[in-house]
Amino acid sequence: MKQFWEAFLVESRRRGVEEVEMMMQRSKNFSINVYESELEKYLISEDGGYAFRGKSNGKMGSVYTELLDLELIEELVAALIENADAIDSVDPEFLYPGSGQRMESDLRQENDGTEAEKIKFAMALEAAAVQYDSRIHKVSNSFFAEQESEYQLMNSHGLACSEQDRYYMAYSYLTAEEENDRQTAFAFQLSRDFRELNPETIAKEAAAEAISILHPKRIPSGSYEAILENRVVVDFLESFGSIFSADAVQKGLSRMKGKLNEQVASTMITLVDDPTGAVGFLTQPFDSEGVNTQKKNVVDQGILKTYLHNLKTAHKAGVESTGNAHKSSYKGSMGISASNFYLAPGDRSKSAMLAEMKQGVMITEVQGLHSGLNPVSGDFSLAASGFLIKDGVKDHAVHQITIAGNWFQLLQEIHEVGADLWFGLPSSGGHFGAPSIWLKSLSIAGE
Amino acid sequence: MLISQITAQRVLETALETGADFSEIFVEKKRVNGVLMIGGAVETVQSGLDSGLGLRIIFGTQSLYGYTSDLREESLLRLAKTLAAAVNEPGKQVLNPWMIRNGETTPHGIVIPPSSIHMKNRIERMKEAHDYATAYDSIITQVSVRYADAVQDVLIANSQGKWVEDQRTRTRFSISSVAEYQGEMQTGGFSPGAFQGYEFVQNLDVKAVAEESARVAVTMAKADPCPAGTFPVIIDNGFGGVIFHEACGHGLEATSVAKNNSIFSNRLGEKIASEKVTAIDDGTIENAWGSSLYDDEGELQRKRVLIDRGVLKSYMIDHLNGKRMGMEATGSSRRESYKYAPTSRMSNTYIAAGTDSVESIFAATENGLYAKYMGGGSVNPITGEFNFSVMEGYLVKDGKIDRPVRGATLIGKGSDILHNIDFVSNNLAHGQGMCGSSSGSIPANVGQPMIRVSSITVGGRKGEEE
Repeated sequence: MKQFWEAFLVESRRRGVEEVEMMMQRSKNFSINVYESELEKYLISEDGGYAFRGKSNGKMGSVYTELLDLELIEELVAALIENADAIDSVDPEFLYPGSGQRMESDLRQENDGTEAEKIKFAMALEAAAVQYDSRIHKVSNSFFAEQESEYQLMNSHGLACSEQDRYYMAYSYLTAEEENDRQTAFAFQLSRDFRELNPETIAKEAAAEAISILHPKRIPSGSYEAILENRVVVDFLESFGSIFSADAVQKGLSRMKGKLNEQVASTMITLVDDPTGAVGFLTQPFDSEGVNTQKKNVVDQGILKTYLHNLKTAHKAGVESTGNAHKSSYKGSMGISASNFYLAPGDRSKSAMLAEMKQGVMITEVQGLHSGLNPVSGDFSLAASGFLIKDGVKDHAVHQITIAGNWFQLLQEIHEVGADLWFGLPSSGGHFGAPSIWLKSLSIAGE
Repeated sequence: MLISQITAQRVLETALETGADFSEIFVEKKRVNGVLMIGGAVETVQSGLDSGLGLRIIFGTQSLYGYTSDLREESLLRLAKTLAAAVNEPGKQVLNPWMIRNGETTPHGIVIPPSSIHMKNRIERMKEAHDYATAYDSIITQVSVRYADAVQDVLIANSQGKWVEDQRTRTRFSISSVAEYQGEMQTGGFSPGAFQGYEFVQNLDVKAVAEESARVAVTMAKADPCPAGTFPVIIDNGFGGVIFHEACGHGLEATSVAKNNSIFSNRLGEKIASEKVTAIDDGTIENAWGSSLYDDEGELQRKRVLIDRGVLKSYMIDHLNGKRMGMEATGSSRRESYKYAPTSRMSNTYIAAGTDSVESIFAATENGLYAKYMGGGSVNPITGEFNFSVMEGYLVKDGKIDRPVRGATLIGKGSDILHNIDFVSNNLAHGQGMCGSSSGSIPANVGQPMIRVSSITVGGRKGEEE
C-alpha cells in the first residue's frame, strides 16, 4: 500500500495535481445464520478499497479502486483530473492541512471468542427462541456477525490518521403463529465484547414481542393520544437525520435554515451528537477529513445551537468544522453525518406515562419510512402498528393503520419525553437513540 | 480473462477438499461512473473500479460463502481453505472438465460503450434536463440530476465444469424536481434506465422526462392533503407495477418459498389471483434494465409465466433453493456483486396487458383514488403486509378525475390485492428500480398496464372527512 501511495504521489505531481489524499478502508467479516439447527449461512470475507481525492485547477476530483495494481496509477490520476475538470460547483473543497496531524485509535477489545463458540451461540439463540413458547412457529434468522475494520487517511500535507474497531452483533427474527394469525418480530444486541452478548435475552425479547402482537385489530380513524415507543422515535430521528446537516441547510433542503439560536422544538427537546464513546458505536476521534470530533448539543432545550459541518460547509458559513465530515465508504463522496445522535431522556418510565395517559394508542412500529415521509417538509404518512391502551394498559394489538402528521409540528407539541433511552443499529447516517415520547394528538387512519 | 483457468481450477478443487458437493466462483470487474448535479452545477463526479471474487461451497442444502477483493492466487487459495474448513463430509467430489460456453449471441447489443464517452458529454445532457425542469414553472426551487453507468465483466465457473463469461452494461439517468408553493414542498422524479451504453442517454427524451418531473412536483405542491379511508384505487401503467413486485413478486422467489415463509408456498396450480391477472418475469427483454444474457449462476436468463389468468404457474428458482424444493432452477439467480451469494430474484416483472379500456375503468369508479405515479414502498414477506407512497394522486368522483391530492399511502396485504384486481387495461409499460434483498441491490424492471383494485386502505394527512 505504501508503495502504491508513493507512486500515486509521484504521478499526481507529474500531472500537476496540487494536493492529494488517500483513504483506505479494509474490513474482515464473519457471519453465520442458523436455521432449524443447521448452519444455513456461513460467510467470511476480507475486502477493502482505496479512495483518492485531489485538487486540479482548484477543483476536487475523486476516484476509487478495489484493485491495488501499480499499472492502474496512470489511469486513476487521469480519471481524477477528468472528474475534477467536470466539477462546476462554486463552493471550494479542501483537504485538511492538519499541521501534519497524526492520530491512532484502536477500539478493539480483547474478549474475542473462537469460531466454535460463535456457532454455538447462534444455535443457542435459535433454541432459546423455539423453547420460549409453543406459539413460536418459525425462527427465520438466528444471526451472528463479527466485523473488524481498519481505516487510514493520509494526505500530501502529512496528515496520517488510523483507526481500528471490532464489534459483534446478533439478532433473532421470528414468527409467532396462533389460530391462523402470524406476526413477526426482531431483536438484536450489539457489543465490542463478545461475552456481553446473551442469546436468551435476544430470543426472549423477539419472542415476547411477536406473541404480544398476535390477533391485532384495526381501530377507527380519528385523533388519538399516543405514546411513540423509543424505537419508533429512533426511526423518525434517523429519517430526519439530514435536517441538521449544513449541506442540506445551504442547499435549501432543510427547514432548519435560518433558525440558528431560535426555538425549533419544545423546551423538552435536547438533541446531542456525541462521538466520544459514552454512548453508541460510531465512536471516532477524527472524522472522514481528519478533523477532530467533539460532543455538542445540536438542539439545547428546544433551541437550535449548531448545524453539523464539514470543511466545505464550514468555510461557506464562515465557521469551524464541527468534525462531522463523513464518507460512508471509499465508493462514496464526502458528505456530512451525525455520530452517536440522541434525544436526551426525561425522568419518567414508559409505564408511568402510559398509566397517566389512560386512554390512547402506543405505536411500536412504523413502516415505509423511505417513501412515506418527506424530510424537507416534515410531512409523514406511515403504515403503523402497536396497541390500543385502555386504563393505562395494553388492551389489544393494533395493525393496518397509518399515522400522519408533521414532524416539526410534533416536536413543538410534544407532551413528555420518557426516560427509556434506546439505540437502534448504526447506519451510514449516524447511530441514533431516543426514549419514548408522549403526544397529546396523533392523526390515525384505520377502519 | 478475469482469472486464469488454472487458478480457477485450484480454487474450486481446494474448496472441495473437505467433502463438499459443489463449489462455484464468481469473479467480477466493474467500472462505474457517476455524476450528481444539483441546481445546474456538477456537485460530484465519481469513477471507480470494483474487483473481487466470491466463492460458494454447497453440501446437502447447506451453503457457505466467502469473498475477497484480493485476486492474487495465494489469497484465493487461503479463502478456499478457510471456507472448506467449515465442512466435514465423507467422500470427495472431483472437478468436471471445463465446458466453456460461448457463441451464445446476446440480444442486448451495446452501441456506445461508456468508456468511449468523455465526462463532459454526460454533463451536457444533464444540464439540458436541469434547464427544462427549471424553466417549467417559477415554483420549481430545486432540480437534481444524476447519471450513472456501469460495465460489469463477470466469470462464473463451478466444479461441474461450467465456465461462463458475460458483460453487463447499464446506464441510468435520474431527475428530481422540488416545487414549493405556500410553504408546501413536493418532489417529482423519474429514473429511467436500460441495459445499454451511452446510446440510452442520447436517445432519451430528456425534455419530456424533465418536464414531467417538474409537472408532478408543481401539481402536488398545489394539491390538498389526501383524505384517509378505504377506496377503489386505479393504479396507472409503468412504475405502478411496483406494488405487484413488492407485494407478490418477492413471495414468488424461491428464497422465501423454500423456507415456507411465503403465503404462496405449496400453492402451484391454485388460483391465487383474480382471473384478470397474468404475471410474468422476463429476463430476456431486449436491452431492458433487469435483463442479462446469463443469470449469476451462469444459467441463460428466460421468460417465466408466474401467474396465468389467476392460477399460480411458476416460482423464480435458483439452484440451491431448487434443491431444497425438489425443483429445477429457472435462471433466476442474481446478486449485486461478488460480495453476495446469489439467490432467486426478479428481473423484469410485470402484469400482462388485459382487455379493459382506460375509459371503462374510470367509468366504473364512482368514488376512488387515481394513482398516476407510484413512489416507493416496502413489504413484510411473511405477513404480506405492504405500504406504498403515491407520488402523484387524484381523487376520482363520478367516474372522472376530480382534483390532485398529496401524501397518499396505500397499505394492505399482497394476497388480498391479487384477488381484488378487477380491471386490467391494455397499455402495458415498464419502469425501472433498484430492488434490495438478501443478495444485494440489483436493477429490476417493474411494469403493468393500468389496473384497478376494488378496495385498498389509503392513509393520508386528513381524517375521514368526505
